[in-house]
Amino acid sequence: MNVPMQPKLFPPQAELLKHGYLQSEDNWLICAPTGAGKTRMAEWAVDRVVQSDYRAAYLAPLRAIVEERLADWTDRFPHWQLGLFTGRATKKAARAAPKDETVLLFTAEKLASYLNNWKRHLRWIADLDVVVIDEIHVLGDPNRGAPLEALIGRLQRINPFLRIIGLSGTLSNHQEIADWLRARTFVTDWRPIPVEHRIRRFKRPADKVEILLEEVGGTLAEDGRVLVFVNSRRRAEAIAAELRKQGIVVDFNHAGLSQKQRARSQDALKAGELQVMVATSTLEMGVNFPARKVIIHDAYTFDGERFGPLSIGRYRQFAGRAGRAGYDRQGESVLLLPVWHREGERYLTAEPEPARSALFSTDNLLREILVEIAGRLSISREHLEVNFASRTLWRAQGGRQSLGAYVSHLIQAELLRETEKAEHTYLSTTALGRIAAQMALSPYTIGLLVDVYRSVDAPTLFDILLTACLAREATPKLGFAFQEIDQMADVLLDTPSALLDRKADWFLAPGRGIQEKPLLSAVKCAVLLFQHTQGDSIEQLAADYDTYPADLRLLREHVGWVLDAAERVFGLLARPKTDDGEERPHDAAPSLQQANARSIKLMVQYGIPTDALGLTKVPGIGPKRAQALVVAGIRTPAELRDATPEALAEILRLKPGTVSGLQKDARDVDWTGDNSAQAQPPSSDRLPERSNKQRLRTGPWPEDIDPYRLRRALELNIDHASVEVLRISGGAEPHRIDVAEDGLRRRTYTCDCADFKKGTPNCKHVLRARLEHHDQTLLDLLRRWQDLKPQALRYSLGELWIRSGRTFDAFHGRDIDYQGSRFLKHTQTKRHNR
Amino acid sequence: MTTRRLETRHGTIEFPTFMPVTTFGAKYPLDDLVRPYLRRFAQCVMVSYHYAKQMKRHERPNLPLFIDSGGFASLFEGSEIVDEGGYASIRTKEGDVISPPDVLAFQEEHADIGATLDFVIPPGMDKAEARYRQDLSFKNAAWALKNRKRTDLRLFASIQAWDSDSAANAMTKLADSPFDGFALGGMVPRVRNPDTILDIVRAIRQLEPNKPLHVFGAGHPSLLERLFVGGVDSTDSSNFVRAAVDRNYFDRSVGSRPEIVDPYNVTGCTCPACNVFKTGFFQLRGESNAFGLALHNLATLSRAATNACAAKVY
Repeated sequence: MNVPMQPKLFPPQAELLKHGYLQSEDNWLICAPTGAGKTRMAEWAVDRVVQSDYRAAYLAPLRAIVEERLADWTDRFPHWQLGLFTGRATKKAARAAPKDETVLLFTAEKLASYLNNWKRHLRWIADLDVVVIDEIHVLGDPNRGAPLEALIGRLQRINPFLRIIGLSGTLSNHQEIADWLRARTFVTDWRPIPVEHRIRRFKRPADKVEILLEEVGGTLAEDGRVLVFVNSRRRAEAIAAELRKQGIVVDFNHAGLSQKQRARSQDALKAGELQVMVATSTLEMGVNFPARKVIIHDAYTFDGERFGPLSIGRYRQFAGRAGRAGYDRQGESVLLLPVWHREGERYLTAEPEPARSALFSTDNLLREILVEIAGRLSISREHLEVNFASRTLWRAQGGRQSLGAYVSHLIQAELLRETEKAEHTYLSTTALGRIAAQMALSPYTIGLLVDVYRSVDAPTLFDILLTACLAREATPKLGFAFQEIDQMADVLLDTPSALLDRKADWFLAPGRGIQEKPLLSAVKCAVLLFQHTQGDSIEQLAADYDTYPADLRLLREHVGWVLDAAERVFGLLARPKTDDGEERPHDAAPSLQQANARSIKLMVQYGIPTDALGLTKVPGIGPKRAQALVVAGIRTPAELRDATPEALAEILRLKPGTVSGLQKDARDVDWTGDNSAQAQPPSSDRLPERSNKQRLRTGPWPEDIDPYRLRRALELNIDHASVEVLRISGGAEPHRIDVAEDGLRRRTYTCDCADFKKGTPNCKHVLRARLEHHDQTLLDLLRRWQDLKPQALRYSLGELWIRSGRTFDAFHGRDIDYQGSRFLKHTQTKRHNR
Repeated sequence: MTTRRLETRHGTIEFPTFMPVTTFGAKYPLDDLVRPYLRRFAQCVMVSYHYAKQMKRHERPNLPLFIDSGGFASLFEGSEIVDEGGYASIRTKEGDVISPPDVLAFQEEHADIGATLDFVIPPGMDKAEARYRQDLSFKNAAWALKNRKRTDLRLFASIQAWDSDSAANAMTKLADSPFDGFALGGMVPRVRNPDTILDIVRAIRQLEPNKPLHVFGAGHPSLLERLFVGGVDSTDSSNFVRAAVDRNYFDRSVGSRPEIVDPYNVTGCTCPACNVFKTGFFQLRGESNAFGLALHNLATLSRAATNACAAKVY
């Protein structure tokens, strides 16, 4: 074996070898804490395969982890021919498929895309002898878990010789997973550097700063380094700023930063240039950072929809970063919890939450069924049951016995068709289904595109952009703040859009899979991207809307993907059909919808308006140059041709020689500007009739109750209630409300939050406490919201915001499995008693 | 049973071994799915001359390739055997000609092992015609040996025989010639009479005990073991794939024909396919199901050599 054994094996490594690991032909599931040597165990298996003239694969959920693995292995194993395969599946990427590499490194998403065309890639898939799946507990992740689970099953069916080696540090139901994988298990809790776990308690959130400074200071005094995990990007920045004020060399890291910025701070930490790093969860999974102490600052984390308690698994992932081999004799993990948090010890003693199949999500299961049929690995309902479902973790964990309902749904959605042949019934994808499978799109997204195509006669550019932003794939979903409504008013009120003229209830109809919060977020995303096409830079928009340029760029990329799909779907739907229901190929000019989808995609990608689309035809003009030209007033190839080289050189900051090349290319571009369907200048006929801008508000309201805060109050939980004290959580921090009652039984509330201290007597926590005490004024206000009349979407964002969220549903009887239902019953009783 | 080896350009073959048959072109798409896995089961792959001509360079398996002569075309309706003097050719109804020069040239370019052009003698053929075809097969073998240019092309003389006497007659003519091995053809219609085949093999072995002996077209699990124990070094067949298409699951314990064995009751097979695929999988019609079943069938045939080695008592 060419992988050098380190001078002394760690005990788990030695133990694993005694189990015959090196000679084994079995699948393995290895569960060990960070630093116990799991990666080495994987490297032995990989090297064994490399010696045998077959190939090995390494799979991880994040590109950052895969790239780190590549860098490490390039350094240490020069005899391995390494290949990196990450990124979205495109035609160009398919040409960049594995060739002669012996060790292939994938993100799960990328490998899944190759398996969707498994016959084309059979040569190297058949050569795989082992696949190492790092962070295999991701099987339980609602977004990443399903593709991984389906991929494992497909890989095993396409290549039954393949061995799987799963690695995890936090998998409590390892035996269940091992049984599903048909793997042997190796479980250890040994760590090279022991970790001391501590809990520090605080009475008020403001006390956390002092605790943090004390803990950080203590470690820095001993020349150690500290990682601080927080629950939001803003918090990471704020805490880093606070520590910097104390003279500490600190940086922050989160997903809102650009790749370059993140890499810079990570490199600085690795090189020992930083004393403290403050980060959100992006770093928790596997990416290697050394630190003596880990401080988990926030016991509540945000999952994209709401705040909830930190999970045991996540705590373990954070804590696993503590203690550097070769530097620290002991690592420390410090968890900050409020004094009244009764279950803190759970973090130290309980097992992480079990990984539960993400195929329990309907959307995920529908998507995988579609992929299964598209790849012809299954061709009938029976095949789906036997070939696919029986091999899933979903089925092993009790997933429904029949996939019939899901198949029927996909047939109804025109993504699958069923045909009879020789007394058998077979399933195949329709052309729409093939688009969904090839582009890894949710069936709901295709359904939405079809819906819009069929129900909107002449969709404007904004309509198509909004549709794309409604898709599940249009991430990240930007948070929507009530106060941003006025900021977006100009676009909302002045942009022609059939969809904005629809009532909000159209979007929220059952079967569309859209709820209030995602709808609001989609509108915001569409407005921002539309403003980008009108000349606002990404950086400016990020600043205006309190978000990050990296998020907007990622959103732009993902929306571009959906717009690609929109163009294909619209093109398909425009074609006449044969008697069998198949679309005929046709050479006619693109339909209005298809042309608009193409246009808005280019506009978003380049950040330019409609009338500058001609610039995208000129080779060498990318988004940055196009924007510079538009700002300088050059919008067409003709204007580019006619400009002086000197002027162009200055605008584009190029040498005159390069500029003349561009002008020459522009001469060859045949662009007539308004290509009928493409350029649709706003028509005054399309604008809604109105005389004044409407204010997007909720109507008359008591002065001392802010609707924004009342709505936020609905998201909060009462963790403890006594006559005098309530503990409230559900926001970024838990808070305490003290209640005093006078002789007339009138209550006054005091909150320990910053908002209250700044002079807001009815902060959201107080409002929540009042609701808990059945405050009639508040209940009447809530009832008023129940009766909001539906309006066009462009006018009803405020009402939508108020209505968003499960708690609101519970208060108004739409969802009774939430604690807010107590209030509903109370209000109903009150009405009855009047 | 003596352990024999054969060195080829693409690797060493240790006998006994089963050589799976593959094809190229669009006619048998299941072969395209199975081919990448052949090197997991086999040391050498058999391709007919007819299909080998359709092979693209990137499709060549990374294994020794045994290319036969395509002589089974002599059985096709309307085919004619033409004695050209120095050798004999086959002319098909469509006007295609299969001649020793063409076959040898192709084998020298692509094969590790080549079999000379022979003319199949089916059971019941008139004895005079049978002897005529056998003589022409000898003529072609001699021609190929004389005209072989590539020294590392392993040349097997194709033998047609119908009983032990005809086999002995053939070996008398061929035994001292410098062929690298011998390939016995015409046994496919005789697989239901394994004793006849074994008589022929014994007759060959009495006169040629040392060189590798291949039997074309033997692909039944229990027959293979008997042949290997009886002195055969290798066989080939596409049976594992054709059986999979018909949902036939190979089981070593079943007689000389593959029978449909209810997979619900099958236990004990630890081949990779049976480790992965659950109950009922092999009974479904479908490309991916046939693929899985073909892998199982191939594993069963490949194990025959191992079983034969284990069964042999020295």
